[in-house]
Parts: sequence; C-alpha cells; structure tokens
Amino acid sequence: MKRLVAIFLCAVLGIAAGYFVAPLVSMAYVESAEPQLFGAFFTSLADSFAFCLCQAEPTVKSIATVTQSLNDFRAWHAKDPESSYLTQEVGLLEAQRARLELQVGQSAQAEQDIKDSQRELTAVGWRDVSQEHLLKVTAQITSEYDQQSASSGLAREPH
Amino acid sequence: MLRTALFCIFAFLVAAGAACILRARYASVPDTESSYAMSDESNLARYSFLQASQADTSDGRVALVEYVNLLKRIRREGLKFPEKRLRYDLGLAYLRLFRLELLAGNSQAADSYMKLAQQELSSLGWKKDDLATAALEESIDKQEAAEEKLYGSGTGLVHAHERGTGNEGSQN
Repeated sequence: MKRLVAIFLCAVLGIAAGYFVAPLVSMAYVESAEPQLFGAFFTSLADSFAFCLCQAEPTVKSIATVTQSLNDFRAWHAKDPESSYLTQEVGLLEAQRARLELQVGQSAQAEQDIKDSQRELTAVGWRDVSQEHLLKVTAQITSEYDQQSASSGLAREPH
Repeated sequence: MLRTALFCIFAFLVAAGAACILRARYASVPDTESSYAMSDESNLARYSFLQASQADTSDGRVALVEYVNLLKRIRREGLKFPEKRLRYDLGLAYLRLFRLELLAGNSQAADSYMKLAQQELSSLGWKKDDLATAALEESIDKQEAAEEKLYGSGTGLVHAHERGTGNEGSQN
C-alpha cells in the first residue's frame, strides 16, 4: 500500500512538473518550428524600447536605449540581409537616434546617423530621405507610441 | 526499496511527460504562437504602412502583400487573433493595395483588391452603401490624406504623377 501511495505521489509531482515546464518547452518548440514568429516577438520588443520614450528618461539614456536596440537590429539584419523589414527598421532607428542626438547637441554623430539612415531607407525604395522628413517620421512614430502608452499603460505599434 | 524508487522515477517521468505534452499541445503552443503572431502582425503593419506611403510602388506592393499573407496565414492556421480586427486589417490592406494599383495604372488588379476589401468589410456588418466602391474609395482617400499630414513629405502630388496616374487630387 505504501508503495502505491509513493508511486501515486511521484506521479502527481510529475504532473505538476510537466504542467509548469510546458510553457518553456512550447517556447523552445516554436523557436525551432517557427523561427520567423519567434524573431518577431523580440524585434517588436526592441522596437518598443527604441521608440517608446514613455519613461520620460533623460535624453542621453534614451540614446543608449536606442543604441542597444539598433545593435540588436543590426545583428539580426546581418543574419538576414535580404529582409526589407529589417533594413527599414535599422534605417528608422538610425534616424531616431539622430533625432535624440540633435536634442543634446551631438550634431556630428547625428549627421553620421542621418547618412546611415538615408542609405538604408533608400535601399528599400523610400522617395524622400531628407533629414527633415526622416526626423518628422520618427517623431510621429514616437508620438504614437507615447499616446498608446498613456492610454493603455502598454506600448504598442502605431498602426 | 530500489524497485519502488525505480517505479517512482518512472511514474514521475511518464506523468511529467504526459502533462507537458498535453498542456503544450492544447494550450501553451497555440498561446505562444498567437502571441508571437500578434507581434509579427504589429511589426508588418507598420512596415507595410510606411513602405506603401513612403517607398516606390513596387516596394510598397511587396510589403503590403507580405502583410496580407501574414494575416491570411493567421486565419488559415486558426491562430488566436481578434476576428474583427483581422477582417478590418485585411480590408484596410486590400484598400491600400487598391489605391496603390490604381495609382500605378493597373485597374484590373485594383478592381480585384477592391472586391476582396468589400468581402472582408461586409463580413464586419458594414452597410451596403458604405461598401460601394465609390464610398470605400472616398474612405481610403480620406484616411491616406490624414496619414499624409502626419507622415508625408508634402510631395504627394509629385509621387502620384511619378506613379503614372489619375486621382492626383486625392493625394492632398
């Protein structure tokens, strides 16, 4: 009888362990079976960090945050250089960083970022890659993120 | 004693495996896929919108078709996604493709996208008058004009000419 109870308890413990491990196993499964979907989750997260300046943090810190996201996107882009989505994202983040750099008077870095941004966005067919226009687009994206954040407490994409 | 311990380990492993597989198969994997699909949808929604409004016709078309394909995949694979939002997003994407093809002078392709948009939006319960081609054309014109104010470079007319087209007036 004691043996049966012990085996039963082990089985119950096993059920509990399996139940709690299942989400991790699922993530691993989706990562291998659906790499594009898995990657989308992280790109979405990195994009939110870069454009949603919802914490009202100092601009210098925001530049560091955008730089981190930009580095992530550049690494993903290096693995998938044909992706127009990643090319556009890298271009937008470079323009976003330039916009912030201009706010703190780092005009030389901003100029370089704008040039990089223009190169990326021209590659995906953008017609107007003037500095003024790129700064306007990134300011609008940031504004929409901030509005979403203010209304829902969560950052979401503008469209 | 050893035999009991082995039975216990066996029972633990079998129960853990079964619970893990059952939960993953019927809950965790669908939830994870849906969550990631929503992230993918968010990414491609903005990407395709910006490409359609900022880039050349061919780049805009490629991005919108990629977005439509993702939405169709979400539907085909039954991933959890708000049904009304899926229909609306598809309807809007087809309308954007309609506008793009119209401006490019591909009226046949434009017509087929308009029909697909009408099909999606009618399933949302839109009234017949609102689904008329002229009404939807006016609706997407207004939306794109509003977006042009926020994201445009103020050169919409020039691009309409570059794209080879009619309908320049609605760009502004």
